[in-house]
Amino acid sequence: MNLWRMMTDRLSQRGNTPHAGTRGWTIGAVVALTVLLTVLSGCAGGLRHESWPGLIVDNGIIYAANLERVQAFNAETGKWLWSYPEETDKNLRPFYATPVLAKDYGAHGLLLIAGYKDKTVYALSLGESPAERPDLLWTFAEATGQYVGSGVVADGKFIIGNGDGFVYALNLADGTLAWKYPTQDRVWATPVVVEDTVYIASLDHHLYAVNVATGAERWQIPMDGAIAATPVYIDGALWVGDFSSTLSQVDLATHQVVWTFKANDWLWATPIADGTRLYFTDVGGHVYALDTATRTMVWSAPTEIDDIIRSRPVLNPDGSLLYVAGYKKGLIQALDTKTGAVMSWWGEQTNKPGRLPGDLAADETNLYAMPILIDIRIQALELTTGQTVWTYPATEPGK
Amino acid sequence: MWDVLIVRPILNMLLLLYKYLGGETIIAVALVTLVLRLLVTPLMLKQQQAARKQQELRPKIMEIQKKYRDDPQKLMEEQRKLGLNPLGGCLPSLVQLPLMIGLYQAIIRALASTPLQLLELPRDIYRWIPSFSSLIPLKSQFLWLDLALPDPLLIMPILVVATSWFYQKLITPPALDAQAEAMNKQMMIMMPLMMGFFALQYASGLAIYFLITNLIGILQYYLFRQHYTYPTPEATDKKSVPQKQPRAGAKS
Repeated sequence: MNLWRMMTDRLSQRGNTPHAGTRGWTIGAVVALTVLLTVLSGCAGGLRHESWPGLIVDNGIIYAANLERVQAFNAETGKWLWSYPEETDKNLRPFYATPVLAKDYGAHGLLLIAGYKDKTVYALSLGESPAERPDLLWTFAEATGQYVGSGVVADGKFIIGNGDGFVYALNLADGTLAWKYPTQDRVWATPVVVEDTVYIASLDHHLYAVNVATGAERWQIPMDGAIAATPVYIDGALWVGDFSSTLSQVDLATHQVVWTFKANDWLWATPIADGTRLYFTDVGGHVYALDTATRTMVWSAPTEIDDIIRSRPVLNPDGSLLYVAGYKKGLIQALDTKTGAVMSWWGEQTNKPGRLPGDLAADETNLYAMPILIDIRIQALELTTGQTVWTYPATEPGK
Repeated sequence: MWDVLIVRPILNMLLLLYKYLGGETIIAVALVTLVLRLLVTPLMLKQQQAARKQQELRPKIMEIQKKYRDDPQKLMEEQRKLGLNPLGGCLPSLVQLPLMIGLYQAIIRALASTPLQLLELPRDIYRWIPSFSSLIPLKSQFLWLDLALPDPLLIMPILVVATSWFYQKLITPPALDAQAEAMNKQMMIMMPLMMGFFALQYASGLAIYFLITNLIGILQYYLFRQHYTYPTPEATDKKSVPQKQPRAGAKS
């Protein structure tokens, strides 16, 4: 502010008539205000609020938490089926948490979604036909923080972490609170349920084990860094990546960290397992393939993608290709899982790819991505070639 | 280039102080603000001196301007003879401005109020200093505030408006005429309100930065008061020897 004042002083003193002084003030004020507004709006993220939207594919239907609302599409054709809410509600947007399907609950299944800004969980009762618009069954609005990570369905409950540091377990029948468990920071990772225990990774640098029925703590262990990636369960152990670039193997029987690996950068994306093999990425653009049984790297060196990687990679049905999305350049690349080599023939050039912070999803034929900062909200790409099958909203070919 | 030269050094200084001063974000922000304000203090004082000199020479400048109205080159020469450099007053500002904007950006990035903002942070952290990544996320709770979110009780915006107004009142030079006086009054209302608006809309960590900046500015005013005093318009108009007089509103 002092600087602003001084600059305007200089301008006002350049001319020495009263009018020149006034003009100087006015020009100085306009320039300084413009600079300040530009800097603040450009850097604080205050004017545009994007998120990393996510989708799931089930039985030929896509359920996508889009920026403004949750929508259903025919996965094969991209045909829009319904939106919830029907009209854009600025209090709901944007969604970070990927929807969760609870197939065995409600008449035809429940779709569970959690809002970022409105801090509310919604249970939508799905109709008999996928095209039927769902009804709102219940809401839960007692959390005081934002929902960023998705939830998990177990033991008749929907369990989800919140920005207020609590993990909430909600009864699926009516949305009432079954229990809540406190951590010391935001919970952005999806809780993982193994048998009767729910494992919670928190940004407070801890991994917690909690009784899924009661919410009673079983144990907790400190980790090296904040955990935003959902841990992956393989053969009695959880594999946990954190912001200190450490991948840790936590033995669930002894609840001890039994092995660690130092990656090149923060581990934020949720890894993907294929048998005993674990594929994981860091935000520096490195892709790793680890044999968890022998704790050896399958590739001698990580594959380097020239971009930030935040989204969870996916595999094709036979596990021969791994698809990785770069956040800033919005480019999806296919890697040979045997060698880590990038398949340069896969994919197509796009003029405006947008950015890809959200998790990828796939079914038997297509790969699905949800870009941000462009008009296209959902892209369906052919798994084998990377060619665009459809987009929502639809675009003209070649664009 | 901007990030490499300005924002990242400040951001990592913030992390360093955070690490060694008990993991309190607010203390780290206060100290970094203080360090940067101290760094630019000599420039700021030089600038005030230049402004004062220009004020003192006002009658002479007006005389020259009148005389060489149609000969800009001669006008420049004569002004130079008086020891006036048209850019001299602005250059210090141009040095200070990037530092202050850089500090603001570093605070916003370090606090990362949304998940997407946090995603941008890793590239700004110096990897050659071990364990910086383990500090993330920075502790954002301070009293009733979540530094990454706006103040729900509106206390910070009110404090920012109050201190901005007081600071503005202290450093405003005396007006040379009625029109400038009116403009001064307008700015004394506009600037604090604008700061208050930003404090209301954005992360309260930014409000903390505004507040600390104002408090340090006020402290600096009292420490270096002689640099902020201006000759009165009457004194300069009568071409009398300029005398240091406290400006209206300043405590003697």
